[in-house]
Amino acid sequence: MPREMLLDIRNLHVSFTGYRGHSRVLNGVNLTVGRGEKVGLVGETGCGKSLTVRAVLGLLQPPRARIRGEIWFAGRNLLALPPGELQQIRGREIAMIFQDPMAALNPVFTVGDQLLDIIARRPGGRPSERAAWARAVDILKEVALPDPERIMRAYPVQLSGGMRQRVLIAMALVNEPALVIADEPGTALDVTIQEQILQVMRALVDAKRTSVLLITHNLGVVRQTTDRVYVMYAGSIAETAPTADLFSAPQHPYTQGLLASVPKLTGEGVPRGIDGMIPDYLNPPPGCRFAPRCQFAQPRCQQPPPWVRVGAEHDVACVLYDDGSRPSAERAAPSPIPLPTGEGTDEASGLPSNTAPAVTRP
Amino acid sequence: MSEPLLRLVDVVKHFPIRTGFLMRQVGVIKAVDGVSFALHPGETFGLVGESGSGKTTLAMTLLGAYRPTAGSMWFRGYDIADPEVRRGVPAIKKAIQVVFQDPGSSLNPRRTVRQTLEVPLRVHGLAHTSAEALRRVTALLEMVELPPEFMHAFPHALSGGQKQRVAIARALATEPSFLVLDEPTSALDVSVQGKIIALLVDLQRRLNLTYLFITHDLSLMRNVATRVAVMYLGKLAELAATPALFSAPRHPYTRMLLSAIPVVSEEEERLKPRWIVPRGETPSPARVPPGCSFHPRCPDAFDVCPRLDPVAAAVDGDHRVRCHLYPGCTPAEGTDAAPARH
Amino acid sequence: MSVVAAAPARENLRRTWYAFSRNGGSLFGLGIVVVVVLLTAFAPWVTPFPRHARAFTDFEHASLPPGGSHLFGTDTIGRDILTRVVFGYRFSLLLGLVVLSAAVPTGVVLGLLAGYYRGWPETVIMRVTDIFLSIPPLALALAIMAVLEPNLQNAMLAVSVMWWPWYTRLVYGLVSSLRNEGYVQAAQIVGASPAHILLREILPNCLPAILTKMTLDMAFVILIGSSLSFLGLGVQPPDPDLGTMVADGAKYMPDLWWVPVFPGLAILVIVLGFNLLGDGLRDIFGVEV
Repeated sequence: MPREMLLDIRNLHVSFTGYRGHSRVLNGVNLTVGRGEKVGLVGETGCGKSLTVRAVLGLLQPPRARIRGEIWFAGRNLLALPPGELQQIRGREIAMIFQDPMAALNPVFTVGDQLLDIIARRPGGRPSERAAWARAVDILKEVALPDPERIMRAYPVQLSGGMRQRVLIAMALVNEPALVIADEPGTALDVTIQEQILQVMRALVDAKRTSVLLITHNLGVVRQTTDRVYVMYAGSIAETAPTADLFSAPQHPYTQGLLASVPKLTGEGVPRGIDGMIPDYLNPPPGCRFAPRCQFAQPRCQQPPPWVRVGAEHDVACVLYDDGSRPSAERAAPSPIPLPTGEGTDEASGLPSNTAPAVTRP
Repeated sequence: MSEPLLRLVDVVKHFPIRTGFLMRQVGVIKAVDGVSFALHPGETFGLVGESGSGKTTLAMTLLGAYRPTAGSMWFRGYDIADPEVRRGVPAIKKAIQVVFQDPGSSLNPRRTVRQTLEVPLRVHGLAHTSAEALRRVTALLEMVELPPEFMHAFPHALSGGQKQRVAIARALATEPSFLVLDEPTSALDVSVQGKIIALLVDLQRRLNLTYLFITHDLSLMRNVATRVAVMYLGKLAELAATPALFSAPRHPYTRMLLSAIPVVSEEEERLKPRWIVPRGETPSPARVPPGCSFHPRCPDAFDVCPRLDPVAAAVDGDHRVRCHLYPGCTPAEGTDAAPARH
Repeated sequence: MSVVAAAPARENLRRTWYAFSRNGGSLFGLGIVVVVVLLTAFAPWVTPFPRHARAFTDFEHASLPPGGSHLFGTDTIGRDILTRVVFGYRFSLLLGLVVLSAAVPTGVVLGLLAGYYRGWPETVIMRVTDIFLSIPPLALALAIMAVLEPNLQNAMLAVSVMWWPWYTRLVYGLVSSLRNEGYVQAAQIVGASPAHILLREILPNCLPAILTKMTLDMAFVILIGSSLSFLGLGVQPPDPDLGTMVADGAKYMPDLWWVPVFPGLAILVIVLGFNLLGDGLRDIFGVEV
């Protein structure tokens, strides 16, 4: 791949031992983020998005969590680093934007205190007090906060939700990290504010060529914000593609189902969604974990799905594509998943369909 | 048009802000500030608004959790704004039920599904013996497409969608005619949302229910509501049939909302109004701007807006809007100022 | 689908036990508490000299150091200290149980009422609670004991009087947040009575916190009771009480060190046991008390 890789997660497995037994949650996650690239990671609740992030940040504690695989960041395998070095990388080179700004800001310190504290930790030595203050005011201006001098002296409770989210973005970007991980940024906010926040974030990371890993369940937000998308299901990547391709020509039955589930402004009624639910990680189905919910499932799905390239930077983990052929126009059609009234369809182009989809209700 | 099931007339809910040792009143939160609309039997009336718009306060007032400061709410010939009427006529409590947003919090973690569902049955004397209660609980579960074994489960054993089905069953237990659905699917995954909505639509048809559907998800609203009201700082900005509201939004706030919806296809992108950069954020309902409360954020504001509060007027049949840009919305100079009701 | 366990209550218990048993400290605490409870329950049969528990003199065997047939030695009038320690635990546990069974229901009921009914009930109950909480517990108990005759019953009374406000405040805080839960609002909207809402919907969700606090408080109450006895205001001789034994024995330090040290260690052990157990419960219930 021509792009220089910043983050390269290879075959990441994470499992936990708990009261009910051993649950294998992450099941071989492969994910890359190039320098300056904005990558989205989407999936439903419990699919392993947040766990992936926590693994990258080194927040999973062995022995409770068992981790296998590699997480390369700027040439170093984070999983093999001593904790001290990981701590350094975490603060300076990887920054995090959390969903709930109130929880991520310390209520007893002013915005200025918290921002200056971060600036003092920047690589390359502590700047003078005056320089640090100027830097803090600058970054607040960059996130389009009015009257930055006043905000520096304000406590988090004195700010509105949107302002707090901007402060969080400022705090994440002030030391110019190489990678920002944003976990559902702004989803706690109203739609008009959320859009503003995402625009500010986009403009800033583009200007600084910061890489972004955006974690969200909101497909619309991903479409507006990212260059490339990973779709995650039950602990592994189902599909990855450049954002425009993923939304115009989704290939994996799960991606198709997910996209078809979103209510549309065109007003054709609310789609039925996907039958069944995420498998129990204690006893996941062998092979493709989506197979029990997939209307195209076939005996071959009992084996781990192949990773097939179907287009430029467009890969999908599904047996439907492993015959070597490029996707036919028919397959690439945006929505082969039946809409509300749809019965079992023949769009599976003659593939044997041995499954009565499990009639588990959500 | 049929007789409305519920008619709100100038409903106001103000919360006093008290402070200090003597609890002196220092201000007022105008959560709901003069809302009027009517719900017709069998319809799904959508209510959208951002946080602080007062949509949840309005819903809780309808449900009797708050006593309105002023105004009346006519339901089957009773003014349910009066708590005496609510207390005196148990049929009202039976007839109006609610499904909350967060299925995690709306079920008691220490009570089984059966115990939860039996409460409304016992309170309203719908089941006198345990055999009768059991039969009713089974029927309720069947109504929400859950197998009877679920009655023995505690909420933690259920998925989000299943919990929400139980919450719907609880709301249906009293055989209501009107349900307030307060963001019933916004805590659920999108792949599950559709099934809950389909269930609600199906129940509405079978049981002839009327819904007040509250959500901030405009794409969802487009697909579930028959009419939509847009609320801003305690007042309705616009009210129209759903297709009209989405295809020809009149109020600048509605346009701003619609332009910010994150959508998933180019086709939808074309349906959105041109992107309007929102100015600032919704002010606190404790400090409502004078005149039209939206004017500080409005891209189309002009000299009248900060001075006079517009009144609602019909612009096109049933399409009502409250904005000085439209004829009939500007009251005669001097008659408005701050309306004197407290 | 089999998400619905056949016996959910037992399943919950098993899950709780699993979480609890992962913590060595809390298991150790539970061990101590169980052993002490069993010892006191069967004290007349498991102690070597049950008659030494009350008035008894045997100057031939007085002041024997630990060893031989007297594992903890004997006191200055020849009573077996091990026996008296075990019987002393009886008074400690009795004090704890009586105090908590008086203070907890009172405190919980007042807390439920204050948290649920805003307005004057809240104001009255919580202001009285605040007044009680502002007085140092031992000082209040001492003041009460100064008026009353010093004995076990009055010690229980004194400690109970100062203990209920803690539960009022705990439950008040819990109710204030639980009343905003969806299931409480749903019950109100459905028309359930306040009694149903308080006892069936809210109280069960307060129980983990109450239980945890009770366990931790057993340790405090025992300590306070022993302090009162130490000052001569609690259990009166010849009844064996750990606090009294420490106070009496302190006179013979350091020559007859075993006379005060073993009762003192016994207090330490039971307090530690209840504290560890309480910490364990707090962790598995995830409650703040």
